[in-house]
Amino acid sequence: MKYCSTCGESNPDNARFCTKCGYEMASEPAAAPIPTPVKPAPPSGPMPPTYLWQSIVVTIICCLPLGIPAIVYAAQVEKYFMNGDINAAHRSSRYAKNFTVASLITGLVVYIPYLIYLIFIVAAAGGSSMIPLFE
Amino acid sequence: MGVLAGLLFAFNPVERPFPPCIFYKLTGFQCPGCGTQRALHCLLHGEWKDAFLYNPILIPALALIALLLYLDSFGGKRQFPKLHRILSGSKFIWGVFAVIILYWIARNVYHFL
Repeated sequence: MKYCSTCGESNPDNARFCTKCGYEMASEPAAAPIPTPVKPAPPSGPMPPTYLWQSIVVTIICCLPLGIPAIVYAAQVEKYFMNGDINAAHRSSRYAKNFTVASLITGLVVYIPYLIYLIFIVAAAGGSSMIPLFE
Repeated sequence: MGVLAGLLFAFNPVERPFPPCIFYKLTGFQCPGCGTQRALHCLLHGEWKDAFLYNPILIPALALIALLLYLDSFGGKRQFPKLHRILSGSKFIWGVFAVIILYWIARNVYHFL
C-alpha cells in the first residue's frame, strides 16, 4: 500500500497513477541516482608484460607476419590495465605471448629442415661457391 | 644464438644459400624483416652503411630490443620505472606498429631498400 502524494489517497503498491486524483504517483521510488562515471583507479599490482621485444624479434628477425598481431595485443595491455580491466589486460598479454611463441615455432618448423637441406647441398657441392644464389 | 651469429659472420648470405624469407618466396612481397640476414652479416663485419641499406629498420629495432630486454629482465624496470612505463604504454607500442606497417608498405610500393 502506498499513498498519493497529491491527495493522500491510499493506492495499491503497483499503481502508477492515483485512483482518486489521477496524478502520477510521486511516491514512486526516485529514479536510480545518475551513475557518476567513476574513472577506475589503475590497479595497484604490476601490469602484465607486453612481450614487446619478443614480438619485434619475431617480426623483424623471424620474418613471419605472425609477429604483427602480437604487437597489436601488446599495445592493448596498458590501455586495459589503466581502465582497471585487469582481466582484459592479462588476456591481451597472454595473446601477445601466444602469437610470439606461435611465430617462433612456425619459423623454426619452416627453417630448420630448410637449413639442414641447404647444409646438405653445400656439403654435396664440396663447399664450393658455385651454388645457385638464393634471394 | 651463438651458432647462428657464427654462421652469419662466417658466410655472406648474398653468396651462400641462407634460407630466404618464406613470406617473400610465397608472395613475392618483401616483409619487414627481409634483408635482416644480409644486414646482420654486414653488422657483424662492422659495415653499418651496408647493413642500413639491406634493412634500415634493423639497427633501430636491435637497439630497441636491447633496451627493452634490459628494462624487462636486467633490472632496468627498477632503475628507470618511468621509461619502462612509457615503453610499455599503448601509445608507444602503436607507434612501433605504425612504423613497421608503413615500412612494410613503403618498401613494396616504392621498391627502395
